[in-house]
Amino acid sequence: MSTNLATSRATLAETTPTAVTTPPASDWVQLVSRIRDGEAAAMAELYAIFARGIRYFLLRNLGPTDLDDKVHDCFVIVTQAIQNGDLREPERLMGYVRTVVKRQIAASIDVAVHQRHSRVDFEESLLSISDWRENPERKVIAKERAEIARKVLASVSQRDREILNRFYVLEQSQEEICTAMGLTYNQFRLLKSRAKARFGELGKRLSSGSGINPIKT
Amino acid sequence: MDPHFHGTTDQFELYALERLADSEFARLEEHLIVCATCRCRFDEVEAYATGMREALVTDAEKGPDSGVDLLGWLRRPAVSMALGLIVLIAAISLVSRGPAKLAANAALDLPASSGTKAVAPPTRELDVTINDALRDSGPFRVEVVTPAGQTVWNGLAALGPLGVEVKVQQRMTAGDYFLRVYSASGEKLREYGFRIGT
Repeated sequence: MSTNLATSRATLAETTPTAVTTPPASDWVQLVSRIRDGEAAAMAELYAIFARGIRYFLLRNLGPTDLDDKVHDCFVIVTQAIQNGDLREPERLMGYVRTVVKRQIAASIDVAVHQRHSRVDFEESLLSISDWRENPERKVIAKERAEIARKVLASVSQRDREILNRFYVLEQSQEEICTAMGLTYNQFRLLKSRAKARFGELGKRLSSGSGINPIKT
Repeated sequence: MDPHFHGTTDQFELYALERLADSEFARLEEHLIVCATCRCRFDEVEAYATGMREALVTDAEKGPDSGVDLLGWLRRPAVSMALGLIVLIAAISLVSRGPAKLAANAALDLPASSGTKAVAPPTRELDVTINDALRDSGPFRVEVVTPAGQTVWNGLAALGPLGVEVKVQQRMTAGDYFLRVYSASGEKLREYGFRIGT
């Protein structure tokens, strides 16, 4: 299993960062308290806040199969834990939700692996959860993006390419790269932002011709 | 948790590349669960970061030079347009100059019999006969220069039955020129003016 919840891709949408704020911890405490008291509106509020985010991570990691059921399972686990008094730190509600989602993803993958072992004789082409990240559509999208990136790389100098390679492949930090290549912090950032902008432009151009979702940067 | 926290682009990028520090990891994921705007931002950053990594890795696997597009600069719009313009100008120049206007060969006798300046048409090759009495028997070194002294051609010539025969294997376009004849020792023996054109 991957190390983060967002290891795969979900649908892109046209949004920009706004002044949306996360409810402060005190709000979580009040919300948990209201759920403990059995307030139906509080349950609905909890669902409204977390459902989409939970859905997002489940979709990315497990695919669309039984997605609504899995979201519902997570929600039930969280509300039951609150009502049973198992959530000892209400201000850490978000952390608890994240943990529940991670466990659900791990459990679903575990189930899928076992199912695959027992059913593989009967259904060779079963698209199980473990296959989700390797499905053809996602492969095409990944290939398409790599192709756009390749075009970006073709238009940059050898030096810029080395900088990108150091960062994205050799996993060197910004500080390491700047020191090794005699760059300032701003030069490094400028190069990266230019490459990213070029990637976005090419992605938009490509998407306008093929009808795929635009890549915004 | 800071209610105004939304994560930076750098954090999103490192998260997408699975390199975000543990201390920031949970905080960012918790925020992504509740913030739709940042989920969209993250998708965009991830598309770029993973695409770039994939492209670099694939190119590196193909070979050390596979990713280096030496002719990539030629595909840049500005370069393409400049090259196109150069080709166009060259084509127009060639057409306007007209290869048919240049004779394949022209002859020139020096000095001109009438005492005026010798004239020959524009040509790709010029046969010059110097029927002046030279005190040397050759061989001779001959050079053709412009009025500004710029050498257009130089070569050797020998004494023939009609005089010193010089084959100037050089495209001669319209203008005034001087032909200088030197002895084998480098002494300047003669200088003649002539014109190419009308």
